Amino acid sequence: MKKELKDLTDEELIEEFQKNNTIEAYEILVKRFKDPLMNYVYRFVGNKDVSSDIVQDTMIKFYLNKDSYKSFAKFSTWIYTIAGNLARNELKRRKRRKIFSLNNNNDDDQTIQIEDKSFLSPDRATDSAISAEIIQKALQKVKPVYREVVVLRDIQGLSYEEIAEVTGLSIGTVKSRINRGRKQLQKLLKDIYKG
Amino acid sequence: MEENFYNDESKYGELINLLKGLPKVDTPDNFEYNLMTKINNGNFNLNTKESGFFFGRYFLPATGLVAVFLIAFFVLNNPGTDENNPFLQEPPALKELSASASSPKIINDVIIAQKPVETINGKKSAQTGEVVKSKTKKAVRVVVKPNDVISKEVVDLPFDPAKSVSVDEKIAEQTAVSSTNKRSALVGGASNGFGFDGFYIREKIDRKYLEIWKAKLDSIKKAQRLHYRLK
Repeated sequence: MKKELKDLTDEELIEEFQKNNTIEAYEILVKRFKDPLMNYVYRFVGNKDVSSDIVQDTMIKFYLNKDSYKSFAKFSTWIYTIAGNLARNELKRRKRRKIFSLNNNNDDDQTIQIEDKSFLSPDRATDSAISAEIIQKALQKVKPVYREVVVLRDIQGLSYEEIAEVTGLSIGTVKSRINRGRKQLQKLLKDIYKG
Repeated sequence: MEENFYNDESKYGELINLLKGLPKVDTPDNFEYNLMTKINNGNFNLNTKESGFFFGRYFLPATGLVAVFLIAFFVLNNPGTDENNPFLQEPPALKELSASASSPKIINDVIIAQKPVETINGKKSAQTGEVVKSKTKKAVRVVVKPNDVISKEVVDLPFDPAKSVSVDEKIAEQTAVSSTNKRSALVGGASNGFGFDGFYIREKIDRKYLEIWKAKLDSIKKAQRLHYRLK
C-alpha cells in the first residue's frame, strides 16, 4: 500500500523530489518549513520583509540544489543551514552598510535599557504584545553569534546537536554561546522580569 | 560538571519561558503563490544578494597604509625637487635678458656661438670673423647703447660648446650628429652637466630649415665683419 505524499517524512519527501522531481513533494516541504523558518529568520534578522525574502530565497535554493542534500542528514538541519547562511549574509551586508554610512547611529550601546520604567507601566508590561516587542528589541541587541544559537535553542527548540550541525560549530561552542547569549539577554531584560 | 555549567537552564528558566512564549511569526499569505510563480516562470533571481567579494574588507587597511607612505614620500621629499628640476628653473639666458632690459637698450641682441674654429670646422680658417676667432669659450652679444656706443658683452650661454651642433658639418653631412647633440644638450642641460634628455621626440633635422638658419647666420656674420672693417 503506497503512502500518500503528505504522510511521508521530510527525508522521504526530499528523496521523492530528488528521484522523480515530484513538485508536490517540494510543495509539501515548503508548507511544512516556511513558517518555522520565517520565525527563526525573523527572530535572528529582526525585519519581516527581509525575513520573508530570505525564506523565499531559501526555498529557491532548496529547489535548485535539491541534489546537494545527502540522505544521512536530517532535512530540517539542511534547510535551516541554508536559511541561516542567507540570514548571516544579510546581517553582514547590513553591518557593512552601517560602517560606511555617514549617519551612523550608535545602536550597539550595550547599556541601553529597553524602556523607561515610568513610561512602561506594570499593566502595559504584562501586555503580551508589548512584551514580545520588547523581547524582540532586546534580542536584536544581543551579538548575532549568540543570538542565532539562542533563537535556535530557546525559540525553535532545536537540540544542541542539530544547532551544531546548522551552525557548523562544535557542541561545546554551541553551549557556551547559548549561555553567553542568555546572559546578555537576561541583562537587557532585567526590567521585564522584576517589573 | 561541564554539562551543568553549560546546561544550567534552570538559571535562565524565566528567560527561556519568555522566549518560548513569543508569538510565532508566519510567512505572508501569498508566500507560496509567489514562490511557485517564480519557480514556474524560471525566475530564480534571489531577493537577497549573495555576499560577494568585498574589496574594502581585506584591502582597505593595506591600501590606507600604502597611501600614507606615498603621501609621506612625496611630501617629505618635495623640497629638493624644485632645485634639481630643469623645467622649473628659469633659463640663464632669459635671466640675463631681463636683467639688462632696464639699462642699455639692446638693439641687436645677436648671440654668436663662440668656438675655436678648429673645433667647428676642423680648420683654422677665419670664416666667422673676429668674434669667432678669439679662442675663448664665451659667447658675445653685440649691444648698441642709447649713445650709439657699440659694445660687446660676454654672455654665459647655457650651451656647452662641446655638445653643440656644427651646422656647416650637418649640412655638408661630413659627420653624423653625435649622440650628445640631443635637444636637451642644446637647451642648456649640458651647462649644468645635467644629462636629462627630457621627453622630446627625436626628430630628424630638416635640411631646408638648417639652410635657412645658416643663411641668416651668414648674413649676420657678414654684417658683423663689415662693421669691424668699418671700425
